[in-house]
Amino acid sequence: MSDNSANRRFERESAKRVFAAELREAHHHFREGTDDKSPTYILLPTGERCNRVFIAGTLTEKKKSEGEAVFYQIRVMDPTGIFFVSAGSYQPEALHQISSIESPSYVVIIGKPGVFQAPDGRNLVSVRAESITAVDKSVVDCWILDTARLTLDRIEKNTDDPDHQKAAEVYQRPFESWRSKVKEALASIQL
Amino acid sequence: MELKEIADRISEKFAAAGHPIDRAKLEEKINRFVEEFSVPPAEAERSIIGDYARQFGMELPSAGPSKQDADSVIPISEIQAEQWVTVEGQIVTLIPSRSPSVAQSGVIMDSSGTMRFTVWAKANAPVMEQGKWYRIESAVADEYNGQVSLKVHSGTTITELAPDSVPEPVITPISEIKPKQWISVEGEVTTIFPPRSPSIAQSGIFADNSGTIRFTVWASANAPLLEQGHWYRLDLVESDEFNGQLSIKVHSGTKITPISRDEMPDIEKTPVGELSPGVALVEGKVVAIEKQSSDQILQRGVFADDSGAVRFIIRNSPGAEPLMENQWYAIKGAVVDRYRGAFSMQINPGTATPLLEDRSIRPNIIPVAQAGPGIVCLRVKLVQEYESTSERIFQSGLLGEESGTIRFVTWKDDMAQRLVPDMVYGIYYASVDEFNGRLSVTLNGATLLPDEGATIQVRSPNEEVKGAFVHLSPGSGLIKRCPVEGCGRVLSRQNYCPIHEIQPNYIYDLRVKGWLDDGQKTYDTIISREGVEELTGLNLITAQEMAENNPLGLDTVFYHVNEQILGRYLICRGRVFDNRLVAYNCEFQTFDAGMLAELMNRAEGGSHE
Repeated sequence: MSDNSANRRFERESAKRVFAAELREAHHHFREGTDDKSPTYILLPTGERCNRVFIAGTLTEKKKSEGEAVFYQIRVMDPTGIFFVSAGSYQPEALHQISSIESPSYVVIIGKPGVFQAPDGRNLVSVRAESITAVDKSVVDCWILDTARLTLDRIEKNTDDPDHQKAAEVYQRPFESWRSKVKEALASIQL
Repeated sequence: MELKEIADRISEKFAAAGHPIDRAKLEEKINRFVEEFSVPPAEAERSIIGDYARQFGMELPSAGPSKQDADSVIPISEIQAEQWVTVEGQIVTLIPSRSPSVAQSGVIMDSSGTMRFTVWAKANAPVMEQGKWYRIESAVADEYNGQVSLKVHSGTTITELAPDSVPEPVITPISEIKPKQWISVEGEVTTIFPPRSPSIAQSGIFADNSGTIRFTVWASANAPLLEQGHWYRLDLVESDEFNGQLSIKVHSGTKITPISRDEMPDIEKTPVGELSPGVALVEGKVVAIEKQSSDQILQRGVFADDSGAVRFIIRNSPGAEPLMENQWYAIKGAVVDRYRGAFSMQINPGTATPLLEDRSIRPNIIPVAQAGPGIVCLRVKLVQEYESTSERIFQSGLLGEESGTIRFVTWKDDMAQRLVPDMVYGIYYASVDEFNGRLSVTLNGATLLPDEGATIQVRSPNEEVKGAFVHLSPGSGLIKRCPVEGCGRVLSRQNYCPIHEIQPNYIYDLRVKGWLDDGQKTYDTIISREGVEELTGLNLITAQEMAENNPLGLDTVFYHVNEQILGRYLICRGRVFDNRLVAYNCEFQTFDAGMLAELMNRAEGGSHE
C-alpha cells in the first residue's frame, strides 16, 4: 500500500470519539509508512487507531505558560475522567479560541493525541487542540451519546481486525471491560 | 497445594541422594518464588533444584524430578517450557539436520497442535519416518526465542504406534482452514498456474464445496503431477498464510490420493443466487450465450435459476463441449470463483448433464439498491442520458426506480437497443461491474422488455449524513461569484475569476466548505445557501449588511458562521460521492433520549454474553 500512497487521494483522518478514561490508558503509538510525513497514530485500548480525536466536556482549569511563547494547558472533564489538552503557537486557531473561554465552560475540542513520558516513567496522553469551541451542555450530551455508540462499536467489532488484535496484545485488557465506562458516561446524563 | 507437592518432590529427591533438606526453608523458598515474584511453579522448582544440586555438588540429573507426569500423554498444545513430557503424535515433516550433534529434527503433530522437535545424536534414538505416528516418552520441552520445542535425549524412549491405534485423519473443509496447521483436505484442482520457480513443482487453486484455496507443491515433495479438473485427497498438507492469503503446501510427507468422479463426495445442490467460491452442484438454464471472444474460451454465457444468475465459462480444453441456449442442465462440480467482485462459474468437460424437462423460470428481479457485481434482473426506467464520451458507446446514462439509481452503458454492436426516456423496462440478465467503487450495468447481451403504460417513481439520490462539523475551510460564509452566465465560479478577494478575470459586478452567495466527520469517515462538505440559512439564520441580505458594517468585511461572516457551526453535530441532506458531500438541507442534531435508552440497553446487554 505504501508505494502507491502518493497516488491516493488525500483523505482526512476521521476524528475518533473516545472517553477520557479510555484515552488516558492508550500508550501504544506508531507511524504508518516510513517517510517523514506519514501519519502517526495512537492505538486505543478498544482496538482502533486514531490520529485525531473529537472530545467534549467541562473546561475546569486553564493555565497560560509563563515563558515567552504563548502556550495554554487546559483540563477538560468528561463523565469518565480528565483530558489534558494543550495549544501553542502552531495551533493559532485554538490559541485564539482558548483565550476567550473561561473556566468552567462546556467545550468541544478537535485535536491530535500524543503519548508523552512523564519524568516518573508514566505515560501521559495529551491532546494538541486544533480547535476548541465553547458550546451548550446539549452538545456535550450529544457527544456522550455519539462516543458511547462508537465505543460500543469498537468493543463489539469483529476481532479479525488487525488493530483490534494488536490492542488485545498490547493492552492485555478485555475489550468488554470498557462497557462499564460507557455505562458510567451514559448514566451521567441528566434529563 | 501444588507448592506442597513441589516441596515433597524436592525433599524426597535430595533425601534419596543422602542430602536431607530443611523443610521450612524449602517451603519458604518456593513461596518466595511463586507468591512474591510470580514465577511459574515449574520454573521455580527447576531453579530450586538447580540451587540445591550445586550446593551439594551433585550432577544435575538428566532424569529430572519434574518428570511427575511424564508417563501420561500430554496434548502438544498444552506443553510448556521446562517440562518432561510424553507425547503421541505424527511426524509431519523432517528438516535436514544442520549440525552433527542433531540426528533428526522436524515437526510433530497431534490433534491439539504441532511442535518442533530435535533428536540429539547422543540420544541414539531410532530413526523416525515422516508421516508415521510415534509415542515419545520423557522428552524435554524447552524454550528458545519464545518458541517451545521438544528435545529427544538419551533418556527418551521412542516407540512407533501400531497403525490401528492411530487416529483417522479428519478432512478439513477448505473454508475452515487456519494457518499453521497440518491437515487433510479433499477437493478439486480447479486451476494450475504457470510455473514460477524451480523450487515449486506446481501451484494453483484447490476447491471443495466450502471454498477455494491456493496450493503449492514443492519440487522437493517429488509428488506426482496434479491434473486440473481432477479430485484428490491430500493428507498432511501444511496450511500457511502470506499477506493475508491462505494457502496449503504439499511437501514430501503429503500423501496424495486421486479420487475418481464416482467416489466424489456428494455435494448438496446450491441455488444459483447463493453460490460462493468453491465447487458446487447447480441446476439451471442457459439463458444467454455470448459471442465467442477468444481461442481459449469455447463458450461464455449466463446460467440462471429462480434464485439468480451467474456468468459461466467453458474453456477450450479436450473434451469440452458447448451448452445449448435455453436448455436446462445439472452441473456437478461447477467451479465458482470471484473475479472483480462478481462470481463466475467454470464448467469442466463431462460435468454438465442436460435435464429433459424445461422448467419455467421466473427471473429474480431485484431492487437497484441491492444490485452488486454479477448478473442481475432489474425493472427500471431511463432517468438520464449521458452525452457519449467514446466512439464505442452506443448509449449511456442513469437507470432508476424507487430504491435508487445505477449507471448503465450499451456498447456498439449490431444487437444494441436504444432505451427511450421515461419508459419502464424489464432488464433480464444484464451484468453489473464495479469501476472505482461505482457500479455500472452493461446492457449488451441482456434482454430488454419495455413495459408500455407502466410508471415508476425514481428515488431522488438524497442521502443523509450525521456528524460533527470539525473544520470550516476558507471560502466559507459570504462569497462572491462570477456573474458570467454558466460560470458562477467563486471570485478571489480581488474579484478575479480564474476564467473571466476581473468581474466588478459579482453576485453574492452564502455557502459553507469544510469537513463533516461521523467518527468513521470524514466528508469533504459543501453546504449550499439554503443549508447555511437554515443553520445560521443569516440570509443574503443580513450577511451583506453584516459584512458592510464591520471593518473585517467578509471575514466577519466567516467568523460568525464558524462560531455557530464548528464542533456542532449536524444532520446534512444532499448528495454523496465517495467522501464528498454536497448538502442542500441542514439542521443541528438535538439530544435524542430514545438513543440514550437504546445505548443504555446495549451497554448493559453484551456484558452478560
